[in-house]
Amino acid sequence: MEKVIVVNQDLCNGCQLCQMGCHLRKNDRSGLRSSRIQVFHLSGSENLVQTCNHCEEPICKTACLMEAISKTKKGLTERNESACIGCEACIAMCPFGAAVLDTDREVAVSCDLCSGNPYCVTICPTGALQFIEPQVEGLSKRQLAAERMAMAGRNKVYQLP
Amino acid sequence: MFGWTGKLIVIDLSKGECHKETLLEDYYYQWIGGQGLNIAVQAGKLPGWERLAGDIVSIAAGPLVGSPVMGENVWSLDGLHPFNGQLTSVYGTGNWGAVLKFTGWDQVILWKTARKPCYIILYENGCDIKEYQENQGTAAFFKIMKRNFGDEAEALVSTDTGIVTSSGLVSADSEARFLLERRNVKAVIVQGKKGLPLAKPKDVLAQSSQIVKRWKETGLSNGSNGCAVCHGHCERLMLSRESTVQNAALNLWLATGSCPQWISSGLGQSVEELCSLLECVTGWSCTPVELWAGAHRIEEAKQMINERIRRPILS
Repeated sequence: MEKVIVVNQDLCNGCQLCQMGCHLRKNDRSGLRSSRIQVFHLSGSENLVQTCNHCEEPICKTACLMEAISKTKKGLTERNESACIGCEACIAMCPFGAAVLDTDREVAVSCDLCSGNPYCVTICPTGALQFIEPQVEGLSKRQLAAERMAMAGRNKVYQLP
Repeated sequence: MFGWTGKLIVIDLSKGECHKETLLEDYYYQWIGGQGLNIAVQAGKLPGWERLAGDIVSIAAGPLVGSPVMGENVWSLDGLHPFNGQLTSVYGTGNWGAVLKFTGWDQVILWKTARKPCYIILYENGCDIKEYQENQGTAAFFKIMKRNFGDEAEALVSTDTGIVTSSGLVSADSEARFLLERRNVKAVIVQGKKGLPLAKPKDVLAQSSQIVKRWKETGLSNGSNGCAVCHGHCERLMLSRESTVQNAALNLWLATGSCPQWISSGLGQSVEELCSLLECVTGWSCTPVELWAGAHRIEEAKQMINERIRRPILS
């Protein structure tokens, strides 16, 4: 897969601009409910952003009786909305809560990365959303983990009597 | 009509009844929105509802609220103060104003007083008034609300520290609490299940991304001196009564739904940009001069209300 939306939950301030922007772009109307990216306010100032992860083996694809969900060669989870009957099986099965029901058209929808230029990433003011290659994200996480381990080791040395 | 639902709800708290009223676009254009709508009702300018003047607390959102534009998320709460009788205006951020519109209302008017502490649930076609359990904590209230009405639901809850929503403190102004609790209203729940049509959606998206781009280029280096892109957790909310903010300018921002802190940080929308945004969202082709005229109209109405309050005392 070329690029994916990566969410840094710590940077999200819960402004929901991404949610409203996505709703407007995809439905031509402003709103929150049928947005393909959802922001949840947890306790305090913590927020949780959920959008499609484009899983390698998507369980929503398995759950769809109408075979409306498929994987493209680039790894994108694609939906054939004309085949969808709005049974919500994919919504119930998705462990990330990434699929939502478009209540106007009664079809399930999920993030399609806006043909490679996701608007939610453009509009995110805090940089909580990034559109990067998964390898880059994996590398940065490994680097962070390595730095933490190195720091922990160094602290241990200092703590020795 | 674009950017508006075209409806307001009048809730008679003493009888537990609600009345719907549809409004013409000219009325919105005249009063811009948000605080302007509230002041219009207080001044007895709402057609057919002149009797409400002076006996209500109202909450309204501006025309740009509900569009995905940074800093355009302000709701205004106006009413006569229960202790000194003066016209009191409070505003808050967060996305409650947007969700109010997505529920199907532009303004909520609370009329008379409830017999017991209550909370109001707004639906697309009406409302419910339920008794508020005094011993219920705010966190529990939000949990029950989300369970009953879904994750899109949002509430304004009056607390000791100010007005809170599920995203945190959105108005640190203690006057808001007095205004609501004088009417025995503890919370107002909105559900946000609908969408809102905008005049030029693609232009709104383009302008919005430009504003965010500008913020990213300049705003992040502004630190705590400028707007903290809070959308609900602003540490500068207490500055709402800042003396340097000119009344007419404040009226204009609160009427359009723009956060005064965002605008005064120097990174927010100029009046020309507000005009352009208004055209994209509502389809109004207004000039800065017309917007300023609207702001002054609101200021004059405020002065008229205060004069009317003073007159019986003097006589």
